[in-house]
Amino acid sequence: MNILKLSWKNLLHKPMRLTLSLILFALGVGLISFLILMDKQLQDNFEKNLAEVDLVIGAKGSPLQMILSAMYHVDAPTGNISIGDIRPFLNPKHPLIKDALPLSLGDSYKGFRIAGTTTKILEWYNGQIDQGEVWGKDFEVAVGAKVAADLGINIGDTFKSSHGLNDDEGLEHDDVQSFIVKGILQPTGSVLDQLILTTNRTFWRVHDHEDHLDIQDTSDNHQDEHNHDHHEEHNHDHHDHEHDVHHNHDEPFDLRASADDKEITNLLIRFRGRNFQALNMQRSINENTNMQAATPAIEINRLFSMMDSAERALRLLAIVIIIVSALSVFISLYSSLNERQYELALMRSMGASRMKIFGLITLEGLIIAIIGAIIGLFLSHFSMGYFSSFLDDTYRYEFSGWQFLTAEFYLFLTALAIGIISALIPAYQAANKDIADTITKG
Amino acid sequence: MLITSNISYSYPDQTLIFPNINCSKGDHTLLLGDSGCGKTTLLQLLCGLRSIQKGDISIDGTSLKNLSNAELDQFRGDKIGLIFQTSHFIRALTVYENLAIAQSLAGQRVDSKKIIKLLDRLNIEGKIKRKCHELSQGEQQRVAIARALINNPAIILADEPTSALDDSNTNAVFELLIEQANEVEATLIVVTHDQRLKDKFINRIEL
Repeated sequence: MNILKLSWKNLLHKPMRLTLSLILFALGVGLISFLILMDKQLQDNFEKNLAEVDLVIGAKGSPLQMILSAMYHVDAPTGNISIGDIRPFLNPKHPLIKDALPLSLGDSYKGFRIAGTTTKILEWYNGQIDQGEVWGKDFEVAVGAKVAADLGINIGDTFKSSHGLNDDEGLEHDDVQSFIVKGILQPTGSVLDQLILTTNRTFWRVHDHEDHLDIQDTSDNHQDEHNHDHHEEHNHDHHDHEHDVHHNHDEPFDLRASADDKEITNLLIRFRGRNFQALNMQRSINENTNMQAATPAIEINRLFSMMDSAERALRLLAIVIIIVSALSVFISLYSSLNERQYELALMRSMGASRMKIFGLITLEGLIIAIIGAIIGLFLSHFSMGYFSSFLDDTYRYEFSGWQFLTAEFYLFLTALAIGIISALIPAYQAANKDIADTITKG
Repeated sequence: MLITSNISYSYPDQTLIFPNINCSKGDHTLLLGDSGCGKTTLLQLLCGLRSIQKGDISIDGTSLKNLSNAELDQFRGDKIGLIFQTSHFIRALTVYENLAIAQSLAGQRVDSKKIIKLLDRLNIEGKIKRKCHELSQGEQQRVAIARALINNPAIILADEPTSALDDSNTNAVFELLIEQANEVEATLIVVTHDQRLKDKFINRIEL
């Protein structure tokens, strides 16, 4: 029967009081821990997908929306930009641009986005083929690890894409040929895991084909008037009619050589160096063209600062709850002193030193803090785990309930300190009470 | 065993002077006095709950005057068994645990065999797992006696052990006290104003 055990029994003796203190402690610690977890995982998810992209070029609109769509694949694209407008940026000899990655977006399969791009995207996001091979011809795809796992996709499977980004739009492209899975990527932890990758030209063929069917001859005429790349258009039709014949559609194509009015959604750019001229380029695109350019890091910072005020309010609430819980520990210990004055005096008369009495009361505060904090951390991780499955379904991003952070360790220590501090005054009072009169008074 | 020499204690409004007490090992002594004569003060001095102003108290060869507060706490747990007018227990603990904590607070190992044997001797072993406040007054006083005896104290100090009890219980508790004190060869000092106990002691000191 030591002091620790006695503290515990004393707490159990007043179960309602104990429960209230524990709930308050758990709520405060849990809320703060949840905020820390959320913040950390959001930052992680955003940062590991920056992929050293210095600039994103796309159609005019909200720059944040464009970044979210092009880099993180969570928002809708702002629109398309034409090859004619971006052709200079595709030049490998461009003095400022080290590399540029074209993205065609807007279609999806079962909620996973299809991105038309070049195989260079694998280098950008450190992706590697796990099974099969990279996409080479149009309508060939390589799928991210998460796509493959979630949808149970295997090499050789075929599917049809839908227009739009949500599964429920029901706009399946059932009039064009099916995609065929050529490769499955290794998990990267980046946005690559949740993408279905194919060529840019696939998008043109899916959508031009639609135009062709919907608007029929007018569409063709329209294109004939403006399209200098007649032979490609011709081959497109040809291909559709004679499936098994090999055509230049299936050969690697150069975006630079494509027609001016062909469109992609975004161009991701890595600069040779982040210098004054590079910064100027962003401004001149925004001012002098009908496109916009935005810096991912800046937009993401803007997003975080927007979330920050909401987060600050929640954090304040959590701190208030923690203060209340500290008060509740203090009040419950302090008020218990009066009803326990005899037994405390009794303990002294049985040989307990003042230090022991002090330790007994302090331990009661500490035990509440330890258990409360553990419950709180458990709650926050549990709800993070629950929340992550929701985020996973909605945004295809991986959040984990079982990531533990050093910040939480400090939070735990702080909680313990608060438990001890709120017990200090009652403990001091109990230890320094003159027991002689209490115990002989009867 | 217990020797007091010329102790007096001053409150702001009065000074109490106590007669010298000299008890040998195994003696039973009654300190009799009416309210206000300083019974309680003397008891507090004897068990080291109040520091000595003048004179000295020596228990089992140790002078209380020379002990620090922490040493006094330790000494009290070790050598003195205290019994009070109304019994107080640690409410959160059972009968057994109340005795166990008395052992461990005195710096001894918890000896469950000894606890059970003692409770058996006092006829309350059936209540061993009950909380103390669930017991009757008489049973509570037995547990209080058991607690005072558990560490084989050199001295048992009983403060008005019977004044809350009726005649039959008074006799029972008194006999139990004598019997148990003899059992552990402890010096028993009963402080009371209860005249019913007067004739039961050979050694009486009137305050």
